[in-house]
Amino acid sequence: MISKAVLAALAAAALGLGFDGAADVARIREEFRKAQPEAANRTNAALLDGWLDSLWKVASEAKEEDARFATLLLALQISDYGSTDSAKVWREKVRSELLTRYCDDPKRMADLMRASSTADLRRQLYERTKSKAVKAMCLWSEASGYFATLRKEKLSADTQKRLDEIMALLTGELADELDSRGRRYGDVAAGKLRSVNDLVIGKVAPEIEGKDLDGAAFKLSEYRGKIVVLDFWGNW
Amino acid sequence: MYPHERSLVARLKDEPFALIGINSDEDLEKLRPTLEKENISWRSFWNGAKGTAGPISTSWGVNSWPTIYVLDETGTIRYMNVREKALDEAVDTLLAELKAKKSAK
Repeated sequence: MISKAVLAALAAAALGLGFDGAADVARIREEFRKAQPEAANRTNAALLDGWLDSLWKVASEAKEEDARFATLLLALQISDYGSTDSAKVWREKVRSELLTRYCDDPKRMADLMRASSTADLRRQLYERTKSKAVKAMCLWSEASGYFATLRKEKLSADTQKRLDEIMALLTGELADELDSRGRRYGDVAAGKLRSVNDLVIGKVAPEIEGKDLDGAAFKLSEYRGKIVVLDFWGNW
Repeated sequence: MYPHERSLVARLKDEPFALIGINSDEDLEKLRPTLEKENISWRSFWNGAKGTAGPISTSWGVNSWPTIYVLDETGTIRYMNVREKALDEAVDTLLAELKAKKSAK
């Protein structure tokens, strides 16, 4: 699957720009989408190299950064998908270009992580970036993987230590950095820790104070004495 | 989910029971027709204009929807993420416990 991030970036790039090579990018995106179910295409060097050559050319000549970024993102996904040696070479080349140009741009790096979230790319980005928001994003992405594992099994002592270090950074010196949806990493990390440690069977649920859908203030604790089903919901 | 929630609320309307939502719609005005159409009568906190990135779900570490907690009369978490029939059974079990405690007093 071409990730939503790539599609969104491509759509944004194509919006009214009609950038040079837009038709090539659209064609390759479509060909790639159709080719993906066929396992044999992963090893088809001519096919992959043809796409990657064209995308590289479009990206190199792009006048709009959005167009260049979206094109590189598609190239990265194609090189991630390919399993030929030249696809690996392309992967490093495209990654390097993306990191050189955009490693300090939190919004684009969030798109990058959604498009291609591998541990080594994340490590490269973390080393490279000067942006604290991007560093926080890398750490949170790493931590989320450990939390997913924790739902199934205990972490090794080393991994648990690493997770503790990450959470200390996210709730400490990186706490005020914002994620792509405007949340403080300090709040996101604290919420996650609370859900793991305190929002468990046998513990008393924390207070919720807020307003109802008509704007009237109320508290969860007003319902003590009753059995309560708490339902986090949305109409979508 | 709405029909099940509706029937739960209707079935237990005379019991010491409440369904409390934490709604994460960004735009309440867009939600209003659905509240009416689906007859959503139970009370919800609003998670704010940031939607699923709002303060209540963030402080609870919620990142999948729906997420459900079932609390007993002391506010203690007794079940998590039960749905449909399992949700009914969880609530019925807690209501029966509560009745037994009251009659023992």
